[in-house]
Amino acid sequence: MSVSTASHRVEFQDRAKQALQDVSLQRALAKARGGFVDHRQEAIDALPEFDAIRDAARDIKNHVLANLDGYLELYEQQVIENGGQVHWARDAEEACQIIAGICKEAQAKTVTKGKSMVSEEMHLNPVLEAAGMTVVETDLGEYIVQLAGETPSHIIAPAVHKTREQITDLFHEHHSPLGYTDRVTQREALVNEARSVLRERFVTADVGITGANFLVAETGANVIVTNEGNGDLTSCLPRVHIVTAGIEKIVPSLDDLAVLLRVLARSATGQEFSAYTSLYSGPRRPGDMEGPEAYHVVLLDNGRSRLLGGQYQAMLRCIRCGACLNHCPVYGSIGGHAYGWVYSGPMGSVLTPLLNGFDQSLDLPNACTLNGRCKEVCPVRIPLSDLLLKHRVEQHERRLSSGFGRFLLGAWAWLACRPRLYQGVMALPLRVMHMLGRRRGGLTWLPGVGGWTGSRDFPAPARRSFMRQWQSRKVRS
Amino acid sequence: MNRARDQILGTIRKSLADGEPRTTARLEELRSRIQNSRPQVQPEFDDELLARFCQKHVAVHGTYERISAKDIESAVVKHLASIGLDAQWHLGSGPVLDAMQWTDKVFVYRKGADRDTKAALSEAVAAVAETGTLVMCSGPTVPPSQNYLPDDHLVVVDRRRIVRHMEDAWAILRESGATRGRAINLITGPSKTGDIEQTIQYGAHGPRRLHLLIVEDT
Repeated sequence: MSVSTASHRVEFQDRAKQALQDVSLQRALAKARGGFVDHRQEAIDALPEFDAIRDAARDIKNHVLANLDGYLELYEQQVIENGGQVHWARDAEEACQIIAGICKEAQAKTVTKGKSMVSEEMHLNPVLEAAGMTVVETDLGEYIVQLAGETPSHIIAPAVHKTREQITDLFHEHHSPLGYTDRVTQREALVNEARSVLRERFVTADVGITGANFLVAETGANVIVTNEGNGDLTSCLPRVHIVTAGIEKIVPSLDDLAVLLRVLARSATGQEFSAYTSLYSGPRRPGDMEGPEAYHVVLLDNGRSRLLGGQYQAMLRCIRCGACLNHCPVYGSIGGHAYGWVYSGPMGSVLTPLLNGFDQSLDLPNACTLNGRCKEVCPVRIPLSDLLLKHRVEQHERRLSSGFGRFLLGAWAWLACRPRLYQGVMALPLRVMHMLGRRRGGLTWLPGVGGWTGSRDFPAPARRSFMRQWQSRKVRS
Repeated sequence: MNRARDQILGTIRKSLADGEPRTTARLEELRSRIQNSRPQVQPEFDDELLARFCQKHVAVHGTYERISAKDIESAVVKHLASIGLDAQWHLGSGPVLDAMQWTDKVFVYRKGADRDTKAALSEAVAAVAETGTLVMCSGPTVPPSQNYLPDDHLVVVDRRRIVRHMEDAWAILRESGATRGRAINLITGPSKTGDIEQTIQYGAHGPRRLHLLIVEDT
């Protein structure tokens, strides 16, 4: 374990370093920075009830999680009543096998996909491709990322790390063989070209796979929240519609859904409401002139059920809006890929170790300044920065953190519990630091923490410690 | 497969409590919470519904005109002509559209849209003033592809069907049984994407333009 632990650590730090030096990435991130944040703020300033709605959203999610088994059963009953089928997958592999099985049975050649983070989580595309199917991501951002052979770097803006020049190159490379030989560089032309290429895919696909922002127990519907319309074309046109979702996505009623929709789009993109919010339930009804003949829901557990009742349960409230990513200075500096898995930013740093194992991704909970903005902006009030602290405590207790760090903490704790000794030992270094930093007001370098002082000064301490000053004042008075 | 189901539900129960299956009584409790569900916190606004709806619709790049029911055909023809299109379109269904007598100057297709469909004319089941949202429900004569494939989507909105909040639209759908259909499509403005450099571009995969005919005298 120690070997894999060490290698993960190096990987994250390497990836972060690479990201910081990647000129294109830094340009793309700089362009995105602010936009999401400002738009969200404007949307929230225009809604005085926002905090009350957030409380209600949190309460709905808590109620569902406390009764998750019951709501899953009620939801399943509704799906069956509508003529659909529900499949249960304990882990990613099982989910992939179920979906591949449905696609094979439908003799699918082409599979279109709407944006689904859960399908990213289960690494579905390679499984379907290995079975001989052509898999086409249809969300523009996901499509760009698929052409580049990459994974999404943001849960709602998958291609946020790509510049227009890079997209131009990708489209030119992949669309030329299809007859689009002009090299288009303008945004509108790029969008039009993708629209035209993907339109062909939509109308010829055999199976459509979408995710679900919510699953409504009242009606058995899956809800998708989008702006492009690709999720709807994926849901409506193919013969078979497959929905993939985590088991925590349930909401009881349509009225509960309305509450969550009021916080989702505002938190994600600063929209009051997305262009398309759709509820799909079951296959086409008798008499309908179109719609899929079969409707399947694949519910994925993958470690979620274990989180219930524990100290990380609040993480299951997450509605994947991306607000915590947009407000995180670490995410804003290194982008999503450095996090090493499908979920990034604060929600990813909490969730990844929970789903993949604590010994994995040890650096993620530590790659955080604890500024707390993520917790402040979360639409369902997940205390993200507190959960990251819990991760750190757990790493310490499970002895997963670095041995040297634990030794230093232990030594400091021992010393701090002995006040007289502590003051005696600290007096000299404080005095030296005061002398050295007196002139500039701060120290530009300290032994052992060069990484910290490399980008900022350590404030020079006062000549005498607080305790000393306090005592001398007491004597005087 | 059933083993997976039992195992997942079992882990949830073990994590939450003692691992016992839900009693029928407990399930009934949850069911009754759903059946008695009520609107919760809602944004308050005093604006007149039609004005608010139009303002929100325009804010998301939609266009509209307020007309009388007898002028629907001429309004559609005129709008299509203004963007260089012939007087033919895919036609949805609804109380207002179903009462229409189309003249032989226009051609309507009562079927789902296809890849080359230029224009479709639908009718909204309801419209939500809160967000400028159209509520569309699928049915035997209402194919949802008409909402997404055309370049131009025209939608008839009966002024009396503009409601205040989303929850008011749910109430209409529950009453009419529309929640039992396959698709409920909430549409707020034309299709758009921000996936290239976080800059909004209209007409991503769905309609490039969304034009409403608000009928005032039904």
